[in-house]
Amino acid sequence: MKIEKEHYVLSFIFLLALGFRLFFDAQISFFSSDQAYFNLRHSEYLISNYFPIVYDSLSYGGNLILNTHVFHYFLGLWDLFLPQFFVYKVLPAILASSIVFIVYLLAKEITKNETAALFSAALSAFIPVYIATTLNQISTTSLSLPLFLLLLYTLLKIRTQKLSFLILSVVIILLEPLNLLMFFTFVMFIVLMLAESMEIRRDEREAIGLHLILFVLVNLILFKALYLEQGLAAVWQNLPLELYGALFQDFSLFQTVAVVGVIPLILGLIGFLSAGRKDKTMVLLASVLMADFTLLLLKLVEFEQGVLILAGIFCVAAARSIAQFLDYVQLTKVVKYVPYIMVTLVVISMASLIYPSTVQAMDVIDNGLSEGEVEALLWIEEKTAVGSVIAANVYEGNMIAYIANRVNVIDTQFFNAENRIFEVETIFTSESLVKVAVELHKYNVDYIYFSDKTKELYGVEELTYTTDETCFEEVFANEEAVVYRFLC
Amino acid sequence: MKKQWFTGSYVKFAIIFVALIILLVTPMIRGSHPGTESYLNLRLAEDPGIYDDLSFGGRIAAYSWGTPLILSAVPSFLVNLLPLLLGVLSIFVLSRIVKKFTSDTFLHNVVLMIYVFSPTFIYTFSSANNLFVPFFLSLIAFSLFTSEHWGWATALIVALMPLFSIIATTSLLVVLFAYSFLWKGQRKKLFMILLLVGILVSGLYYGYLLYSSGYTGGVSIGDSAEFGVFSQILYDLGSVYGIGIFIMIMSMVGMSSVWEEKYRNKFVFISVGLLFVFSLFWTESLLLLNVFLCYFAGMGLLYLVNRRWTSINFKQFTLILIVCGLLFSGVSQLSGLIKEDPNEGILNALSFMEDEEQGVVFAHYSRGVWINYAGHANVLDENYAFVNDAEERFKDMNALFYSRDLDESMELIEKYDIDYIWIDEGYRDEVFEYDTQGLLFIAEYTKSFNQIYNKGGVEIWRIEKE
Repeated sequence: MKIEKEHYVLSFIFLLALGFRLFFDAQISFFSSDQAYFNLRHSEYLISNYFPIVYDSLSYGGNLILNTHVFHYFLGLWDLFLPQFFVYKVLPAILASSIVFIVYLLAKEITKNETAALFSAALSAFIPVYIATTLNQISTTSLSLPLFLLLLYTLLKIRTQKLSFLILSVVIILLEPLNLLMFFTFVMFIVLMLAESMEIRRDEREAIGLHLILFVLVNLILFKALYLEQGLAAVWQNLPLELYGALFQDFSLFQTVAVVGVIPLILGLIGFLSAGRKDKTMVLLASVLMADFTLLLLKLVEFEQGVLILAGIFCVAAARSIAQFLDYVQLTKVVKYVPYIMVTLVVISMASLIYPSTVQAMDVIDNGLSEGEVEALLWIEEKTAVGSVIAANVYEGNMIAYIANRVNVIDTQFFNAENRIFEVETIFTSESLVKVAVELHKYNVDYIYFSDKTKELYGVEELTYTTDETCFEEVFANEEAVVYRFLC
Repeated sequence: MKKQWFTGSYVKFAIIFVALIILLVTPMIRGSHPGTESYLNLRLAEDPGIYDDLSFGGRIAAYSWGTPLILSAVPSFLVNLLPLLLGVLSIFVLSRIVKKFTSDTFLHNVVLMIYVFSPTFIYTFSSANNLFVPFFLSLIAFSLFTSEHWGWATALIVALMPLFSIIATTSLLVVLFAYSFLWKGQRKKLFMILLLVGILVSGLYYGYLLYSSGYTGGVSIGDSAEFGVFSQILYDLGSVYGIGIFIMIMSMVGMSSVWEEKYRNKFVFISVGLLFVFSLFWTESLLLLNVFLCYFAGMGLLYLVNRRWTSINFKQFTLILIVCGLLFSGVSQLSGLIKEDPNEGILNALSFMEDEEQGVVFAHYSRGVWINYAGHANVLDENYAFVNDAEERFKDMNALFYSRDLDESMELIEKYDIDYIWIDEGYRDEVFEYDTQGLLFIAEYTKSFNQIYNKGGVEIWRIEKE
């Protein structure tokens, strides 16, 4: 295959995106989110045991983990023969950056215009919300978003990509079985196609039918009991109500603009508005948008996830605006200035995206897990008895389990866990020693891990009851975390 | 492409063999009956009578007496054998019915296979519940009604059916109505006779029950469902013996494949529509609805097998998924029946109670039938139709559960002359939020409450009376 100029440009965009991510990844040796440590721990466990942790003795002091572990097996497989830094830092960055290739393919499919497709690919390389949710976090999203877009592409090219569609369907559904987006997208696609009196080809019908059936079956097998107990709320994964508002927040236009980026949003909207009604590709993209909006409004998808999909789709749709603009310019006298116009447009667009992306990346690195916190967690691992129970806030539970290798009181694996959010809040906010002691005894807590993150989360500066030296002993302290031993 | 291996004469016997195994799984693994209905039917069969001393502390025995009367010949033997026998026979009857509608052996066998793996079939014939006889009779009645010479015999069955279930009788009449008025017009006269017989017998039977016990009004003490309509109809979304979700999906494919001939198939389409609406109000109609949907699901599967696919991978993978989905609901039903209460702890506690002095036992209403089976009276149970003070008793049950006022609790205990309190972990977590709530506190810290049993998750207190 002859390597053409646009392939070089595309590779350059990919390397730029990858370089951006790796630059920030390399700033710190650890990871920036609690969820990263959940994935890391389960992936590492798989390498040595081949089977996943089903009953996790460190989570909640014993918790059934409901997860397909596809992502963990994937990482574990690479971990067998590659260094850890590459598997958990570089590989997720490569996966996340690969979105540029898929956006390029989709955009080219829509416009048949390479310049416009490259422009879209460049936009997708620096989506602020994508950086915020995937940078240095071993996030499932770094794999699921590119695969989602790739599945859309294989549907559009179903004549030649049947096997790819089949494999991708299986992987995507097993990767995130509770993600309703693809299911709703296909349902919406069928509705829109029927409404527009457009024909869904036989192979497309087969592909969509297969995907929907697989989705229903996998969900029945894995989550039937959960659906029976909680109804559609099962998609919230038994999330405590207290945390629900933060993750499934109301749709906000201004916030959406900020995290999606102004240029992709404007160009994407123009792309949709200028599309012909009978354009099947645009109908498919519109189906994604409508499904995503519906899920966001019904709060059936996390706000950041929902907005991320919007951003991805707008980047693809932006190609249409650029293609139409280029077509128009060809008819005018400024045609000779097209390269300059394009360069200016790219510079403005990239500047408008790279700046917020850099801000988000710095925020992730600076406000994620800090060295002081890691030091405290490592101290717990070294100096406390194996099997000690550590009370920390809900977003530190997986770090307690991985870095400190100790039992936590609460973490983000809510599926089969009892709701302890109120009790943990009491531990960190109450001034009453009696109340706190009741909760600490209830969960056999040996140590309290009190970090700056917990201070910020609960709006407290100190744990006043720890002044009682008969019950609490400060066993470790640095600028970012304190560890108290519970003696009563 | 039709598979020849699935059209041989041995296939039907293989299906019956599979059905036998499926129906034997629950009793073999459990060693006891699941749910409550078997225990009620067995108790009534062993001691038939107009007055029931044990339910609700004593009431008119206003039950569907058909099943207990059939079992009463040899209760402990028939309670195990009859569901299995009728389950297998139902396959033969269904086979006859399907053959009247299609000459395609492959479709016939697929329909029977889907039926055997349907959660509805498994639930109905896995225990001596209230459904297995009326459903079997419905199949026989339909088969006779559609036969050339035995149509009149349907009247005999319709005359018997109200003793088993008024809903099953109504569902059957709806189907027969659609059959005679929308397809075989010559059956109209026979249908009118059946309708009269049905109304007459139902009127007499339920008139007598109403006359004996008085009108009780609309009483509802059940729980609300999570998915509303869907949980009423679909087994996989919460219905106890509803339609498997993949049977529903495939039946839609089947219906759409013959939609163009809808006027020729008026009878089946209208029957499905009417039974579907009925099922929203009375779940027993699901039994007949399941039969129709199994037929359509078979057609749907056949359509997918025979259609020209653009990819062999898609075809194979889709069909494998569908077959897995069809099997999943059945396996899930079996697993549910095996795990269903009463568990070993409850059965041991019931054995213990059988040796205790007879008295009134207070427990959650869902435990009432088992308590009766152990020879004790309950304060209330789930068979609250035709009981005058059911709603009052339900309110009192909740008051007793949640009150920590000893005087108030003792007043209620005296009101119903309660001798024992039964609390098991099955309902403890649902009713109580913490360990010292209401009755738990009173039972633990009141002298007159003497704990006589605490094993396998069941706690029983005897109330020492002055």
